[in-house]
Amino acid sequence: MSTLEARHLVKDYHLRGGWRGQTLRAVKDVSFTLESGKTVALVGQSGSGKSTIAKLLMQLERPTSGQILLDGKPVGRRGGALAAYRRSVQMVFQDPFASLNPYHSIAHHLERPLKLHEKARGAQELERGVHSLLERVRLTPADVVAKRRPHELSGGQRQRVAIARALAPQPSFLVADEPVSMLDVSIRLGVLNLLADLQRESELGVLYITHDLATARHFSDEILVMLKGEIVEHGPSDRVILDPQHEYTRLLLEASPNPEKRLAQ
Amino acid sequence: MTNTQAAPPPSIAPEPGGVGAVLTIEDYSIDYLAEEVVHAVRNVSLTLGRGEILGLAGESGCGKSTLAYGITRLLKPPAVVSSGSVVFHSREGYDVDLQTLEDEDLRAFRWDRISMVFQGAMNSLNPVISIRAQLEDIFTTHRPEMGKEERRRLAGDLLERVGVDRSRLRSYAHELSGGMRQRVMIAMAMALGPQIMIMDEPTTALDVVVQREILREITRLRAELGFAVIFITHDLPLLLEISDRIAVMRDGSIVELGAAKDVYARPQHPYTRQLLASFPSLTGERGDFIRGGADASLDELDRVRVDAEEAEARR
Repeated sequence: MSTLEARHLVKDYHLRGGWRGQTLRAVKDVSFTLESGKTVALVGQSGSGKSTIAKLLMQLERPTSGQILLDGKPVGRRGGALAAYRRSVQMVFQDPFASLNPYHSIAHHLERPLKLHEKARGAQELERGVHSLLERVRLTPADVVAKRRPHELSGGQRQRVAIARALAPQPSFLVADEPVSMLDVSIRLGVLNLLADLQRESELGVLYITHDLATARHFSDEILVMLKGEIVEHGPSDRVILDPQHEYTRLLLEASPNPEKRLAQ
Repeated sequence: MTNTQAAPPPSIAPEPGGVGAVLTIEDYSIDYLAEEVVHAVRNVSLTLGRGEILGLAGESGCGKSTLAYGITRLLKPPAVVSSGSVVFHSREGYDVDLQTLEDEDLRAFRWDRISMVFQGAMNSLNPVISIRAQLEDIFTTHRPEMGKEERRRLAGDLLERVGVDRSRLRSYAHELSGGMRQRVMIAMAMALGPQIMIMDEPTTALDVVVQREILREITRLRAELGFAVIFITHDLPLLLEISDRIAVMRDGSIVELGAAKDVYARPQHPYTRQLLASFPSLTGERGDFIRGGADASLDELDRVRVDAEEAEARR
């Protein structure tokens, strides 16, 4: 079993302006652990620091202080160690319209990580790799999809390509930052169900970042609630939603649309 | 203002206790005359009750925004109205056929009787002039007889009505949060006391907490001022909470129309059921449709369509 641990993470951003500038503490002493085979949801309003956590975990930003540990060992920051880390931890971004390159075919998007992470060699192996990735995210017929460019796919299909790309290096962990918020409502659950299936198949540890409490509850084992850079509540999903302890969690729940409440009136 | 035909009998009785209709849409269709003609709105008939909140639900591309643009006469070529009528029944007792309004009549009518909060309203404010100037601009245009003093006062009153301090009159758009900008947009839409406000995804870009505040504001102001609202969004749970009636739109047609509670409890059309099923319940049972079997729904709803050329290439 694999673990990915955030330990006392702090991230300061320096803002320009005034004589000295100001410091914004986006993440304040955040600790949590992801385990393979489990999904943890990170919920909070925009500006609460959710995406900063994602960037820190992906090593796209360096923490001001604190550590990230993979299987108990501090992670490498450059060179071969960073490449090895990237092989283990992959990301799915929010916007599939921006995260795929319009000039390149779908095959190109999937061949690159297969080559970079040495998962396939030679034209035939690559083609097989691309097709099997597409089949895993149910984009069939794979040979047709592989030849297309992003604009020839729907938003949901593009996001599935992004998921396939993240799976290419056979990671242990997946960070999904609002993976369905840009998609049409009727296919959101389908994509989340697909993610849940893949997670079970490959024993992935998933960090599901969202502002939607309902899907956070149904698709994750634990929920972390973030407010102004701090985690204010952490617990099993059903407990956090049905019996919230922190005042802010209650506020979020109160604000979420819930037609059952009205019907009960 | 042009007085035209009398009100046709409303096809579906508006809910809030027989206070009459404020807008009647009859057999209304809009086409986009592209290379291949797109029927964006198909034979829509709707009656909006005075003071009613009507939710218009549908996914991207279903024609809901096109319908809103048609009602406000904001369509641009290649969009054309291919059939039907939209008639506004004023509080003062006369009817206006919106399709026949032109030039000066249209300019005077718009915003005064029907106003709109646009999608992405957060970015619809002018960044280089103050909030005060933008609010006052409405009055200088539509109420030229109004004095400067009164304009100032009204602009401040409007802001306070939507819960923004009047000291913000001096601010520029970038100095306000997203929620505040949205409130300013709603204040602008309310400025002339319209009888209908059309809101196109007014809270989609906002957080749930801010969204909740704005929804409360809309419901409160509706009760206070008695305008009717057409609230457009893809967020069905939200509509179920705030609307009196809900119309579900798909491929340009209204496939279901009913009281919010009925749509929720007894959806008639399969598409309505599908939309409802897209939103897992927050506090209900953990449904087994979730984390359940592999997803046939994706294959069904988001299937890759192979065109003739591709099929040929595969042979």
